Order: sequence, then structure tokens, then C-alpha cells
Amino acid sequence: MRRAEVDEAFRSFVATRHTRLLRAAYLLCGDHYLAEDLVQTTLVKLYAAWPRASRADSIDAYARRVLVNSHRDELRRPWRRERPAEHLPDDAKHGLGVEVKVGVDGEHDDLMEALRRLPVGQRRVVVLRHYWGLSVEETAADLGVTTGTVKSQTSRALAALARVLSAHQPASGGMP
Amino acid sequence: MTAHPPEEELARRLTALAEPVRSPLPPSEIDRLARLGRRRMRRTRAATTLAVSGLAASAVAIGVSAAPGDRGSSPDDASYASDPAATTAAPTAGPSSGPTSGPTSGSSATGSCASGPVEGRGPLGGHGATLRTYRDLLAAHLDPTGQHLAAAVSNVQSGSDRCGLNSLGTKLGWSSPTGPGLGMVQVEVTTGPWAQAQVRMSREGWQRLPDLPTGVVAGWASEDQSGRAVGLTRADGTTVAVEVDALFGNDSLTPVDGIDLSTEQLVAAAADPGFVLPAP
Repeated sequence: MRRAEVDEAFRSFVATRHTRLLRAAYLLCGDHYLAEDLVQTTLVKLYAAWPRASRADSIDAYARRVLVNSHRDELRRPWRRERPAEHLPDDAKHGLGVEVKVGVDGEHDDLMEALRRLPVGQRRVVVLRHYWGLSVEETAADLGVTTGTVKSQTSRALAALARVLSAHQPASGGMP
Repeated sequence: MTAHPPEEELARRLTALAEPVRSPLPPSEIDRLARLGRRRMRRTRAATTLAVSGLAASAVAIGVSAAPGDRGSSPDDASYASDPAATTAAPTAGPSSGPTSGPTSGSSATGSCASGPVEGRGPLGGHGATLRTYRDLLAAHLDPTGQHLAAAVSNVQSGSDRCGLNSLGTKLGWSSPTGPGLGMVQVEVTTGPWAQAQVRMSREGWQRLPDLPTGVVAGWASEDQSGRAVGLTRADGTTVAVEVDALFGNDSLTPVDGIDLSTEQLVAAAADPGFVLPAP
């Protein structure tokens, strides 16, 4: 594959997919700045692997896996390692002291806080299945786990999120 | 598969939660990512070539020759050629390896910077005094007992742009008095973008530091099995990066034991205001 072809294909991919990758990264990590770093890392790795990625079934799937793996790598850093916490910091003002205009209403804050309280494996499943809209099988393939694991983690995540989901749901859309 | 109501509600809420997140990516930023990707590709190829050939002394030459297709005349090629990070990897030599080639050897590949001020005269590129200051500052923070850090500076890492020198640093050996092996401590002082710093490009998994020393506006850290590194950017735009690695790759095949410098120690060292580029 010639470099000009790679560049053109890469530009086209980034132009159309960047926002979705960024949003998924934000849901995974809960931090706008970190999400930007994650997506940059993902895209650099994707470019370097483009010949191989373009031979895969789907470049989207390849990029998704790189993003999830990059997030996993970051969590392994000692200063990033997640620990359970009773009280979470105000995420809208996380980072370098610059307020990010996301999650500014109570409904969004509650969901983001609930997401961050999920074990990271469940959070990945939630993002892949319910934000990206993947099937159980696709999610399992992306994460390298069994479909049974995806199902059980989905079930646990939904149970954990049930309170926050029901709290802001319209009265007519009752939860079971 | 039919979604249950909670799943539908969750999908709706996640979409709404993420919807405000947007960060327009101009074409120039996409090109920058592509350049970083090409550099990563070159590093991978160069590392592979090094491993196969065992020619550990000329990473730059191998990096260039490993990507002949990148030597075209596109704008990306021009910008890559002028990238300091692509020109600063002067051949390294350990503390006992005698004189080393200075940045002059790197400058020969600088392309668009060739018309800039000439840098790198003498064994240490004319920066011996500055580099010895860097060494002493590192020793004060990382090796106050003087048991580990090489006493002599014999390596220079530098880069320049059209305005002249914008990056200077060195790699120093780190040894143990009780065991074999040779580790490495590298310092880099640059006024260029953090994204183009040599230490930045040589490692992955950078994370923003949550707590910054006084006078520092941004900080990053990276860690893997072999070592760790930090980069701190001051308010004046100067970035100081310090990296430690258990193996001084070009000078030893044996990692040193007990190079247990913490991220906090590296941050304290990098925050030292004595790390400045020499006056033009």
C-alpha cells in the first residue's frame, strides 16, 4: 500500500470517526482531557498499523480494540490505577483546572458517577454494547472474552445502574 | 436481539451524556497524527532492524534507511525532515566509551534546518559546560551519594529548528557498585513542543501528572517494565524531560539492578530551574 493511499484513507477515517472515538473514550475514562490523549494514542497506533488494519475485517473494529487496549494500558500505570472511593471528585472540573462543559446537569452527573463506580470490565462492556451498539458476540470478540462473560457483566452493570437509570426516566416509561 | 427497556434507556442516556463531547480536528491535526504514526512505524522498523543486525550504534541511519518510501518530496516529508525529534538521536556512548559524535552528525539530516545556525562543534557539540551542569543537577536529585551516576558526560543529544538550538540533553550511565549492568538516565531540555520531544517520542503510555510543582504548567509521566520518565513544561514554554531505564541500550546488554528511582524523584529533578538551554 503506497503512502499516499494510506494517508488519504487515514484522513478520511479520522475525519468521520474522530468524534465517535472521542465520545467513547470519554465514557470509558470519564475525563475529557484523558479521552483526547487516548484517542490520539489510538490514531497514531492505527496509522502505524494501517496496512495490517486495512486487511482486517473492519478498520472500525480494529480502532475500537486499540482504544480499549490503550485505556487498559493507562489503567495499569501506578498513578492511574483505579481504586474504589466513597466520594468521587467533581469530574466536570477534572484535569488542569479547566472546566469541561460536559455532564453539567444532574442527570448526566449521576450517570457518569455511576459509570465510574462500575468495575472497569463492566464499564467497557457497557460502552461497547450500549454506546457503540455492538452485539454480545462482537463485544466478546473486541474484549477477547467469552459471550458468557459479556452477558454476566452486562447484567451486573445494568443492576448497578438501575437506580440512576430509573431516577430520571419519564413516569410513563416505567422500569421493571 | 431485542433490547430490554433498561438497555434502551441506557443507550439513550449514554448517547446524551457523550453528545456534548466534541473536539473539532482540523486537517493540520490529522496530518500531525499521521506524522506521529509514521514515526512510530519507523521506530518499530528500526528496533526490528537493530535487533536483527546487532548494529546498535546508528539508530538514526537505520531509521532513515528502513523507510526509503518516506524520502519523497511531499509536504509531510519536509515537515518530518525539519522535526527536531527526527534529528536528535546522535549516536550514544557510555561513560567509558570515549569521545562521542556530537549533534553535527544529526544536523546533517536536518534538511530544512541546514540553513540555521551551526550547532555542535567539539566533542560535546560545544555544550560541554551546559551538559556538565545538567549532569550535576541530576546527581543532586537522583544520586546524592554519588554511587551510581556516571561522573563524566560523553554524550550529547540536541536538536534545532530554523531559529537555532531548541533541544539539548545527554544520556548518562547508571551503575551499581555491587553488581553488573548499566542503566541510563537521560535529560532533555527543549523549547519545542512536548509532542516532539525526544523522550516523549521514545516512550508510550504518557499520563498527565495530577500534581505539579510550582512554576510548572503541565506534566506527564510514563512507566513500563524497564523504566520511567517524566516531562514538565514550565510557564516560559521550556520542557524538561528526565528518563531512567534499567538498560543503557546502546552500551550494555545487561540491565542494572536497583535503579529504583521514583516518579516523584524524577519530577523533582525535572522541576529544577537550573535546566535551561544555553544562551544563543
